[in-house]
Amino acid sequence: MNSFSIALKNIKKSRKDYAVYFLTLILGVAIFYMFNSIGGQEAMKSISRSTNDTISLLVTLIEVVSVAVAIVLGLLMVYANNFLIKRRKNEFGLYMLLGMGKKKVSKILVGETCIVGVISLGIGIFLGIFGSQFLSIIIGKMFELDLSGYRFTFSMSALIKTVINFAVMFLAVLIFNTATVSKYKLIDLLNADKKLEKIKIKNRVVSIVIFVLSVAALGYACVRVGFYGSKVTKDEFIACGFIGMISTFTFFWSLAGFIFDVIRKFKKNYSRGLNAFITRQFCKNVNSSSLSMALICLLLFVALVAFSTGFSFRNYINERLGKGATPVDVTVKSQDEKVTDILDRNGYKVDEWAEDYFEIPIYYGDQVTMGTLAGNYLDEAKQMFRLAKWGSPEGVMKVSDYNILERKFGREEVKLEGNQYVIISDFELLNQFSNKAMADNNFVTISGIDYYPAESAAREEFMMLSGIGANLGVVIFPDEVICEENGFTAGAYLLAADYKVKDRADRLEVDDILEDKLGIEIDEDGDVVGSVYMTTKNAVVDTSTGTTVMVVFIVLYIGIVFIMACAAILALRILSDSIDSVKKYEILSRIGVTKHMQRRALFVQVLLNFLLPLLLATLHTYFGALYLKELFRALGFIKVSGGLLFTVIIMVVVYGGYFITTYVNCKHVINLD
Amino acid sequence: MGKVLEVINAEKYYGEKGNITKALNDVSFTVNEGEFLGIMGASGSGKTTLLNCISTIDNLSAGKVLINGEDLSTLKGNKLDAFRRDYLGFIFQDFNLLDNMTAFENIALALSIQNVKVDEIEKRVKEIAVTLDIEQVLEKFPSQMSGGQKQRVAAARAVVTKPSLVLADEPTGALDSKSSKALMESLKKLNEELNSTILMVTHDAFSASYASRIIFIKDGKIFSELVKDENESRKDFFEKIIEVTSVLGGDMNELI
Repeated sequence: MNSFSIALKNIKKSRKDYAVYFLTLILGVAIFYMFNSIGGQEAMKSISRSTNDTISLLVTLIEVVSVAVAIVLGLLMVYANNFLIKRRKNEFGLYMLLGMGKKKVSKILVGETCIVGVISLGIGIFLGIFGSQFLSIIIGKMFELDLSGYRFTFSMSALIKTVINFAVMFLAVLIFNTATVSKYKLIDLLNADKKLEKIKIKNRVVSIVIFVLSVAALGYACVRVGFYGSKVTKDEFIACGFIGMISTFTFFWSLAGFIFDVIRKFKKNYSRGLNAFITRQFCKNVNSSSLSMALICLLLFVALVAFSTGFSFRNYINERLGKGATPVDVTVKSQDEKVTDILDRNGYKVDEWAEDYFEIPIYYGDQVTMGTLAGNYLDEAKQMFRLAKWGSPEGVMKVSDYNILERKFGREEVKLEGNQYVIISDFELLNQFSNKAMADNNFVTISGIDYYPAESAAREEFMMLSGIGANLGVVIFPDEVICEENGFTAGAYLLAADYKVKDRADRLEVDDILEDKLGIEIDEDGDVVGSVYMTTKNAVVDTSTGTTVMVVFIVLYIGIVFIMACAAILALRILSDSIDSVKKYEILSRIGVTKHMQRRALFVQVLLNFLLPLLLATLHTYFGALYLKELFRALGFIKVSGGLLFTVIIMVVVYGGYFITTYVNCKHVINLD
Repeated sequence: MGKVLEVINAEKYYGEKGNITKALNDVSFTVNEGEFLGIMGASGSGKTTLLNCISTIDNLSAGKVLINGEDLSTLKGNKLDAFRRDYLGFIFQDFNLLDNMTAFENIALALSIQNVKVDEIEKRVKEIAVTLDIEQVLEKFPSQMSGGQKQRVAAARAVVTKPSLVLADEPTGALDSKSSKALMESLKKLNEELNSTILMVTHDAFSASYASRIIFIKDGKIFSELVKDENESRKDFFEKIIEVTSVLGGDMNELI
């Protein structure tokens, strides 16, 4: 029998042992292919007119992320493979005892790795090809894209990338295997299953002290970041992240030191049935793998935060696009010259193409600046945003002018009573100071008359169409205030219009003509040169969708790979533990514990192992999401819970799938089938 | 005295038609309550097969095993597990202690799987620990104990549930002579003080000499039986055993 046929037989024989390894490899290959093939997907092509830009950016991003993913998967493979070798030490020992020599044993392993590699690569790519179509459709549905041109696609470049990547990984595994086998001593191989377990006992007092400290540190970091997110500076945030990480590790480490004593205090439960056994097994797991548990917890945390915020981002964008983010077809802002004048001059009169339009002036004067609006908080604001020009004039508008826009945009009109003002801005970062000032009833003095805020906070409203927030604001004053005597002159004009044509293609045509007639030039970086700035409904929808699709893709990619990696590490660790526990279950059988009870004990043990890191990660995620919510508030992005359902689905499918595979596999290892 | 164990015409065959090995060939005996029975025989004599059939791990090809009058062949699946849990206690050559649990927990486990109450568990474990002189190791893990201590803990686990029958398979097989002696003294104490019924399989004449009756098995059949007289010293009984085993051995030599 040559080594190849032995290898083939081995794999056939131990398919069940290979289950987790196969699952991980196949999923890894499939995901890798799916995301790398995204560039050619039909759904992507209909995202936006500037397809190439968006897609090439996405492809680059995915390539960058793929490097990280490849490293994670590579490490995972080595780890998984290590587990398989451990399981088979006895078998290798027997080969060597029969005079096979390490070279031949290595050869068998090479054969096995190759067979496993080819099979999983094949199945993985097959699944990936179908999965990518599925992904395309899901993304299409998610963003209501035009999928009429949809056809089955296959990406050669993704295939080549996947094959090369995994070939390199398999090579790494091969080298690792050969190195491991050549290190083995025959006696250790043969006695592999007879080794006595060593029980490391940690100092209880030290453990409890460290535990209390890490819970306190974790609590501090969580509360600081979660509830006071707006006040946390960048350095502080990094410090909190660092504290969180360290204390997660110490949490698991110290937990192992005394958790057992705590559980044992509940004597009644502890001495019922197999509970004592389950507790001992579980505590041993926590003890021997506190490091990997903490790592898993952190990886899960990253994945969960990415998921929940990534998907709420999508919900937010979709919601905004749906709810009055694009009340008109086009908005144009021009410095100095009226928009209508420019168009008249260039022979594209507004009446020709617009069904309904208005143009309102924005005034500027030295008496109203960003600084005056910040009131007593100017110093604080200056410290935070050193580059902002706090002394430059802020745009002001007549209340009657602005209410034309409010009516057109379908929003509540501004009402001023006497000497009052209202700030319009959806740029939260700056709003935070003016809002505080308004809360203090900060008055603005114009030519000796004080004007007080009519509303308690800035109105988060936009004037130019924009996918996400970030309009700089204007201040609304009574009509009579804005006059030349008070130093206000019209410095800019805002035109908003609806097209006569309604069809998307026709509207795109008008967009193009307008851009040309307004003389808008865009430089290489995509920035507008000149004094006229235009945003269209089409562009807003396109860029919003493009950005969101990108965010969702990257989040999906990283999230799924991370969750998979976590689940796989957990699964392998539990499996390798269960190999060590075979004897224990045999003893249980002998003293008369029924198979049913044993299966229950195993189930609880596997479940606890999967739950503990998830529980802490969920807690982390809660606070992390609170912080991100605070952070994104600047962009007017409020709801974080939106991605929850999707996160739960992914978790149940990937994490749950691994949990079940692990349990079934363990049952097989322990002969409880 | 009631009969705890009845083995009636037990037969066990291995192999296919025309090539049958009889591991047990018409073996019959009974064990009464409070008895300490030793079963001796060379390797391959069938003593392990017999023990496996009594301990419900294996089935007979023909014949019956009754424990407390209950026919083992009528028990299946979970009922069989429950029977083993409730009526039998085991002591193995290689201890079979759970090495991630303390001695106390190992002993208590046998009770907790029978859903005995916590207070009762603690009381009974402590009692048996006193009897077997293992109180000082109760909080230790198996890796921290000597072989003799481990085996006494295993013995404690076997008897703490007050089983009808304790089955011991070469209990001194992995022990040095000093520990062997201590263990056998303990088993004898259990037999005498707690009235435990013990069935011990061994090929060691020294261990066997602690029994009150010995059945010798050879080639699947009962070869002879020795009963210890009440006034007989263990030393005399030991010499008798040696005599029988030399005959057993002698017969084996004839085969060469």
